[in-house]
Amino acid sequence: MTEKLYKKIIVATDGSKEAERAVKYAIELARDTGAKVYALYVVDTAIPTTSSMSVAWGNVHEFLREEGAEATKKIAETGAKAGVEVEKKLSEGHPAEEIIKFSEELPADLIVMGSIGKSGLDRFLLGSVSDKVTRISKIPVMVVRNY
Amino acid sequence: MVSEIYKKIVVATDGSKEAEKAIESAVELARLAGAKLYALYVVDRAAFLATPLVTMPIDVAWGELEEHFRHEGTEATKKIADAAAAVGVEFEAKVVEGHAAEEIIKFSEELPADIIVMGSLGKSGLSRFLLGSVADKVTRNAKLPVLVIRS
Repeated sequence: MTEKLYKKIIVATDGSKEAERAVKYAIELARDTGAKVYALYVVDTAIPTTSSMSVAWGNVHEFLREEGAEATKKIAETGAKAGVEVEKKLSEGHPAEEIIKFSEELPADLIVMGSIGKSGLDRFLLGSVSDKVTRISKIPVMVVRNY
Repeated sequence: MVSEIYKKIVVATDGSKEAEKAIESAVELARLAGAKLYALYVVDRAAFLATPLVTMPIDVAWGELEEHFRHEGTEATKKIADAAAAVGVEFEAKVVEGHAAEEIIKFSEELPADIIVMGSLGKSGLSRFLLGSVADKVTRNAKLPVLVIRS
């Protein structure tokens, strides 16, 4: 095969411990294939559903942005150790939609993601996000479960 | 390069044209990672009988159909063997009978494999295999990473 298998790999994170295993698999896949990694965190704007909660949205929003910055920075560090180029990306909206949108804009060759979100807070539900992305995406999707 | 993670790769096929992209990617990944490739074909009787096209009279002829599917499995995995051999990838083929998703997971976890690669669509005309829903099931239940490749 003369053309590279993967040139641009997106790894989507929700900043949870459960996403870390997906990051590990994505970085190694990028190392093996010589691809560049795009670390994507989506600030989920669908979180505050009640009016009482939306009052506090400013704080939540700030918290999520910081979490995203931290999570993508960690991925960049993991990539650097493995000699893999990583670009950080923060976006806002519905996670599945944003992941698909970003993958089409790049365009990426592969999306890697975990399947379980934060169990305690339960706000992200990466499980259902990965289901949606797997169904909608036109490019390959790799789901990495955490056990 | 020898990969630190990807040493055993399972590629599941239903012998359809839709599985070809997944096979191509799996062979290339195995080559790059220095991994061994396992091709798996599942003779799924339940999935076949569950399709609307199929009614009792065909059930009577299951013996012949089973033979047909086994032959298809041999052919499909042989094609993958050829592709793997062409690029120097170590290869093993397996044809088993059972529920597709269950057998794919069982085989992969027993190895244990490091990743499962599969297509997301089955034979559109016959619709008997429905690799799409098989991929969903495998993605949800496998303990190892699953790479789903649409055609």
